[in-house]
Amino acid sequence: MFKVSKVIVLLITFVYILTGCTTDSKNIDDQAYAIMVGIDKGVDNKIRLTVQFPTYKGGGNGSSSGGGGGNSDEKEHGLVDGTVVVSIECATVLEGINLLNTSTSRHISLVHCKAMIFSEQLAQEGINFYLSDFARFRETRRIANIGVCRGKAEEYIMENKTLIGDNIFKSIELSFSQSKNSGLFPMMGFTNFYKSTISPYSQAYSIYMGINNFKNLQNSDKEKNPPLKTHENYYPGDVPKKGNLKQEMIGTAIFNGDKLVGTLNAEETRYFLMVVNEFRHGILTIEDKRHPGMAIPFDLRPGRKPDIKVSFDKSTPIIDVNLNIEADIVGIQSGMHYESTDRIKELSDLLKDTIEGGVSKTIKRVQKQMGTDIFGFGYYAASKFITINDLEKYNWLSHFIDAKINVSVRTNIRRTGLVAETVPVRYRNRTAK
Amino acid sequence: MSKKKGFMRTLFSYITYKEKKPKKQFYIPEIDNEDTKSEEQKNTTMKREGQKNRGLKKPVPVSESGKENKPVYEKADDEKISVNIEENIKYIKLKFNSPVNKDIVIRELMVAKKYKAFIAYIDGMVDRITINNFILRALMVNDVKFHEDTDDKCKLDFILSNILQTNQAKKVESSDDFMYEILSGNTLLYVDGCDFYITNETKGYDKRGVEKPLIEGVVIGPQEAFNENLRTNITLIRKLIKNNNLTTEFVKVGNVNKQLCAIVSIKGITNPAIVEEVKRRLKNIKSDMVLGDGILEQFIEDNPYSIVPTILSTERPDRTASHIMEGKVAIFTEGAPFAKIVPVTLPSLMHSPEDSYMRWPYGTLIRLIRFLAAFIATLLPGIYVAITSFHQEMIPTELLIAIAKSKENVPFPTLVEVVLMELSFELIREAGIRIPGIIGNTLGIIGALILGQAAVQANIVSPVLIIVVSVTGLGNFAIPNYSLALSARVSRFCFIILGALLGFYGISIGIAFYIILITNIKSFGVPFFAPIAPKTKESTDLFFRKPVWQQMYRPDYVNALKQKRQDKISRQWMKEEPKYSYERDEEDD
Repeated sequence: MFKVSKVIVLLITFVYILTGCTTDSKNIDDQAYAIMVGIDKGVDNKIRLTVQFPTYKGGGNGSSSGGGGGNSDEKEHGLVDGTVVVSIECATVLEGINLLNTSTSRHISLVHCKAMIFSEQLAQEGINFYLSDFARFRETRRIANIGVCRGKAEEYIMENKTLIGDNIFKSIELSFSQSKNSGLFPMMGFTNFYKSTISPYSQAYSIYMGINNFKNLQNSDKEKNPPLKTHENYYPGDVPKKGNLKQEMIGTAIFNGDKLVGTLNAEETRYFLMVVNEFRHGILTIEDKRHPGMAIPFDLRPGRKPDIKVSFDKSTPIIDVNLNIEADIVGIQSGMHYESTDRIKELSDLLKDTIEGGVSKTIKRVQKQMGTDIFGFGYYAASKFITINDLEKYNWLSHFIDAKINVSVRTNIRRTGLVAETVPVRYRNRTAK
Repeated sequence: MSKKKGFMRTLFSYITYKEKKPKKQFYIPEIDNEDTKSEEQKNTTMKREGQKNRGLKKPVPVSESGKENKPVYEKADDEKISVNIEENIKYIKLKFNSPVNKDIVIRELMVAKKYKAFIAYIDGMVDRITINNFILRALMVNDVKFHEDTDDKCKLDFILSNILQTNQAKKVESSDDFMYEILSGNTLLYVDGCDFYITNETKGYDKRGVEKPLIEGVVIGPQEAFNENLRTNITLIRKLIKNNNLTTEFVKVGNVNKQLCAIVSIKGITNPAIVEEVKRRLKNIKSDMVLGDGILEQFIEDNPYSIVPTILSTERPDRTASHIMEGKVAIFTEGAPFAKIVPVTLPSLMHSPEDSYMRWPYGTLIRLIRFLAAFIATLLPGIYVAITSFHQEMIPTELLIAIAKSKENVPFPTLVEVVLMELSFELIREAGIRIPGIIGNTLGIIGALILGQAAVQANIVSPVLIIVVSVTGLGNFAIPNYSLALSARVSRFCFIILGALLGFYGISIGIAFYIILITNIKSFGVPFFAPIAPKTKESTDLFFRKPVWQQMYRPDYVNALKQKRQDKISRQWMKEEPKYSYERDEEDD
């Protein structure tokens, strides 16, 4: 027994001496944790890297500088809302971070990096150089979101502020998870993105983001009756709004390999997410066919996992996409009694047609215009091949453009909300229809 | 150079494989005479047991146990008792160093005004009322009864059967025996002309009453604890197990102090090999002083270098009784308010008697919480150090920034902080026990609060660490066995160092070694990690406590003579129709 304990002491000593892991140990407060990394095309060098990391000032709350306006001194040091934003021109990303350490008091670590943002321009030229660096680097956070920024990533990160809470990390994390509430932009982690760029089954997509300068909101001096627009065909920066953050995440950036080839708008993104089973929840407004100008909003959620089947007609793939979407009625503006058992089918068909049309249009656009399989149909096709080599020889990605795609949607209106039946409004002398 | 070579060789010898020397170790033989009813079969099993126990030493009778270590006296009269009263008084006086030693009282008297006699006892150990009323008075007053017989030279037999009014009185013929009787508080009677003594049970020393358990408190369940008196303790067990097979055997331990130990088991359930082994170990302790059961434990345990205790020490009669009923053996020591239970396993050390008193969902919940507590108490500070110095990506970002902010003004690395706090916590705890009187506990708590808060405000430690240390402390208090809690305290420091050196890698190495150590040790022939590794018959009472009526078998590892503890359907009333004394109306619900 005594010998055993001696052996243990020896082994522990050996392990300690031989591995030398201890040099990797770093204290929490010896590091600064980057929140976001932005990569733009450089002017003098290959890239311009923008890194944002928080300051440890002000005890619990982070918003010491207040709203980000700050004075000129703070602006000069890149202080934004309790964080520091630094830009640097460099050859590679990691070298840039290394260079930044010369002027930062702590080691800048990427282990808590929430997002990596590439500018649209850079993305069109291909981003694999930078991704493969990240992929090898030990400190990269593998679940960091990948985004493509309309405009410059640097500007986007400069607008990284928190308005609601104090904690900028929390607000960034929560703003990404808004994808689950609206379904208007996808979430794409670093590992999945990188895997998709090198995969023979599917191709990569990412969040499409940008800055909204609040210029799309028209002045209200025109005296006219605006039409009902139910299509949310917005790209980042297009949403007619005022106030709140200037940042906007809306739409999908679509890649062929590592090169940006196109984008989807908000509405298309929602249909796309339904196919890849990433859609969780969202409100869809449809124009009432019987009463033009009146809207019926639906609260959508997936009923079942999408049922996707791939078969081959000689060498042409045939893809059957079956979606099952459930909806709750949020409102019926016309007051028509659609909830009754004989009318509900009419409403369901209306919804079905809209979604079916939207989905097939989106798929067609991605397939024909951009020619990339971001839907991951290749995974379903793979089971038709005996070996992986066969699949790689067949080259799914090149055959995807020719695929015949049939979309069918099953909709089911489950609930009518808290009101079972629309009750008409009563005026003094009449009741509305 | 040669010295270096020798060092290298010893170093190598530690890490190379060597053929294990065959070593005889105690194990519990399996005896299955569960269904054997006939004599014949019983005989064969007995034979088998005998064969299997070849390695064991035959037990020596109690009376012979002390013989070989007898001190040498000037006058050798240890073998036989003289028939002369003067000689005997001299001998006793010599043995007890009488004129110097004032404790021994020898009272000479005349029995029935005819026969010279004396009684001897130790002052303070005896009950005076018994001696005065039922020995002295009986001897000196009843001279009428002495008329009839005449020629018998020794009157002691007659006195024993006719005169003495004490409840326990017996003949003793060896000097070892009567010496021991005097030492344990009995009164010795001698009448001139006899060659033996009579001892009377007159124990009357001061002792504590039966009080509430101090260490193993429960909410639900009996509130009795053992005290320092051996007899009382065994009685408390007898009170719970009213069975004629409950057997108490006595062994004297210690060359000089002759501590009386009781071995309690149930004949017919307990595997006799365990009892034999316990007796063998107790008898073969060659030490002058074996005080209390804490020292006894260190003398008889299997693995003195193990970090975890392999003997269960409890102050609760109910817990002891339940273990005895499972086929284990309890060892009591005079003067110690604890029972030692062997053999035990690690899971049974984590059990509390309360688990069984509560209904099974509650019992299971509190038991699982206790296992979690043990995990926290051992590993939490180590994991905290590992995470904060190696695996920062595992902490939620908000918390990470909060920790970083709170550590901004702390000048020490995490390891120093943790060791500092752990040490001061241990300090508070140790001081809290040693502080005399009632202020002890309050001072401990206040000290902890002040130390915690002030340490944070003075920027010596970060506030998160206070939480870690206090949760660890709480976890440690939730471990039901005090020795096991101490072992968790010791191993915690190992894990802190491992975590600081190697992160999670180090922690996993530590856990692996810990498990290797635990599986390597035995408690009286039973592998210490028993129901898990080696896997024995499925236990109904391990992590999850199944309902009491499902606990059909005794633990497999003790190889009890009767494995079955209850019928398969123990709730027999379920099978019967309930008898109502009234007719049921249709309106009745």
